[in-house]
Amino acid sequence: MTTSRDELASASLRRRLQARIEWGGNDRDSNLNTALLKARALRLARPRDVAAERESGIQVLSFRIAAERYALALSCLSEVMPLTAWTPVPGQPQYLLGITNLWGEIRPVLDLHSLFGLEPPGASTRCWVIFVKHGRSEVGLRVEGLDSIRAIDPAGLTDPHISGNGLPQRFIRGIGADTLILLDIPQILALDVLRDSRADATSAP
Amino acid sequence: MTNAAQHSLWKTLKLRRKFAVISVLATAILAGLIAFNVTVLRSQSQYSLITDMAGRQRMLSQKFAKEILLVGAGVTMDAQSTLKLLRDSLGALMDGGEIIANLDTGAKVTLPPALSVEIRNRLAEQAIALRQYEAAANAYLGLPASDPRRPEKLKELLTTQVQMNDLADSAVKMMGLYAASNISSMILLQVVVGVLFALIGMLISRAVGHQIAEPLEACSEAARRVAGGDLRIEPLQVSSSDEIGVLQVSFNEMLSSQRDVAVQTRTVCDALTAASAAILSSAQEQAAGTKQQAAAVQEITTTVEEISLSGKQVAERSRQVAGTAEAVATSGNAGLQAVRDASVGMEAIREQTETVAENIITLSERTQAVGEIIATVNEIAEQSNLVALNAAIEAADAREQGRRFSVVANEIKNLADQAKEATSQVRGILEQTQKGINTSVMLTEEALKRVETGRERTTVSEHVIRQMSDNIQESVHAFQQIVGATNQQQIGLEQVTQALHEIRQASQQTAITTAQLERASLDLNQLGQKLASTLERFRL
Repeated sequence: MTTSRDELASASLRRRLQARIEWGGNDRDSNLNTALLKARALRLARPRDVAAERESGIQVLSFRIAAERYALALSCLSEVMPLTAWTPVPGQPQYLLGITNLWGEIRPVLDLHSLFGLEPPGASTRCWVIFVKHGRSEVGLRVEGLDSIRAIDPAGLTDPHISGNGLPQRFIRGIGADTLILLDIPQILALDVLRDSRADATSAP
Repeated sequence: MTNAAQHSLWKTLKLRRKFAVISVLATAILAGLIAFNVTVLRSQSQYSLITDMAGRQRMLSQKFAKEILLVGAGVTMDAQSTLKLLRDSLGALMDGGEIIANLDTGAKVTLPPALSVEIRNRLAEQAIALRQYEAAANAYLGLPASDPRRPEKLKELLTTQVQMNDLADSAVKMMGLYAASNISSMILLQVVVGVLFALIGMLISRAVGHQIAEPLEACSEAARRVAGGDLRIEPLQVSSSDEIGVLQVSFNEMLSSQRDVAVQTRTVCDALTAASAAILSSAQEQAAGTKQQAAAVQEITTTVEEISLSGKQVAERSRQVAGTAEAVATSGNAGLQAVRDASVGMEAIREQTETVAENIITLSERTQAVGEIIATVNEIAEQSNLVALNAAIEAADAREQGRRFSVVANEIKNLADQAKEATSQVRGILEQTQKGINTSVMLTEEALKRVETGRERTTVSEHVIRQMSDNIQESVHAFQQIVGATNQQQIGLEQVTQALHEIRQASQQTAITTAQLERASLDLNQLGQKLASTLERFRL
């Protein structure tokens, strides 16, 4: 029984090996290549009306926090970069993750997970920081993933005050049709910790 | 010596001695009688001699007278010698002495003196007459022949001679009378003595006979009673110590021993009857047992024949199995060779599998290198994406002036996304490849292990097959031995069957014998009862 089964297995293996040899090294990933090329062709053949639509709405950068998709208006952003290192600040609320040094400038980084009451990411999870223009300074927001830049029609947004779906409504400007949550930048920047720092910053120069 | 002592002495004597004493006594009496007779006959012969001699005197006197006459006639004769003889004889007859009995031979006899006075007187007269005759003769002869007185003288002489003859005759007659009277008295004496001794002998023999016969009769009576079965009689009185006494003692001993024998015989007879009854019951039991034995022997014979039949089948089967086992042994050798070939093949497979494992490991390392490169590419794509995002942000910041730049940034981001997508796809493929390689490595290791196991198993199989082959070889030997043993068993069973037949015959014979024994024990039992009834006759 076993020997016959082994013989069958070895026979099929030999057959497949023979097929590999016959196909040659170049044709080996032809299926994959075909699929890739097909996907690229589809993307290139995308209709232009997408760009026109984009121009009509406001441009936002979509990102992810704890498997939730959020977005920020592109106009109020200054920079995105990987979050490599930060220094926690003692005596501050939990939602202030810490401070980071960007090209010699000390910038605060907020922890949106803590702010929104979400599950914090794991230690090994790779994170990015989105810097938001805040007057002359910039405030970093930690996110778990960057998606893409897209345009949103402000008229199509749902007001969370009306829908009342239980989210922390203070920082939400609106929710898109595909459950994309557009965050309200001024509300985030109006946090006490930032105001304090802002008061120091404004008084210093 | 007293009478009682004599009696006891007599009693202590043996019968033989007694008879010897009696015969000695009888012989003595007979010898006495014979001696008496001899004496009588001797005296008788003396009388006849004397009578002869006396008669011769007459003849001599006549002879003398004749001689005188002859001398007177002138014939020379020796008359003197005759005269002398006449005188001597006469003297011997008178006073005894020797005398010439035979004139021719000159033999002499001795004569006794005269038997009686009368005879002597007559002889004396005869002597006187002789002297007168002598004187007359001398006177005659003195005259001459021519003398006329001579015839006178002769006449005188003759007268004297006649006178002398008469005297001699009378003497002879007297002697004869004397002898006759003497003989008759002797005969009387002998008759008297003989009758006396005969009487004494009768008395003695009667006494002795009484002494012998009485105890013998008592003994005979006792023997008759014993013969009649009466053993309760008193023992005999021992009367003497001779053979009769010995006979009585012996009879008493015989009686007591007979009694003992009777008692013992009765006891033994009872025991014999019991034993014969036991023998009879045993014989009957034995007869029953013999029948059972015969039946059992029959069953055993049947069983042994069945065993013999099954033994034949066993032998046949063993032969077949031995043949099969030989074939299996041949197959086992072939299997051994095949297993050795398999072992060699396994070794080759192991080497090839090791090569395959090395190749797969090399492939895995290369795949890892490709993965690292892909990670680098992904990192570059990430950076590009970030750059594109920042560019878009910058373009948005520049508003109308940045609109075109925004498009470029968007394109860059698209490219970065595509690169990222491609790298993620490559990573997925690489991961799958790596998984496949890992699986292959594990499978190769498994294959190596299996090959190793297979080699071990092949070794074990070789060992087992060799052992099996050996065992089968042993089995073949064993079966051959079984075949041989079964054949021997067959022979033995045939012998057993034969022996069982003999046993059956013997048991039949035993049955017959047992029946005879039964009959014999029955007879014995009856004989014992008969013997017991016979012994009842003995009154103890």
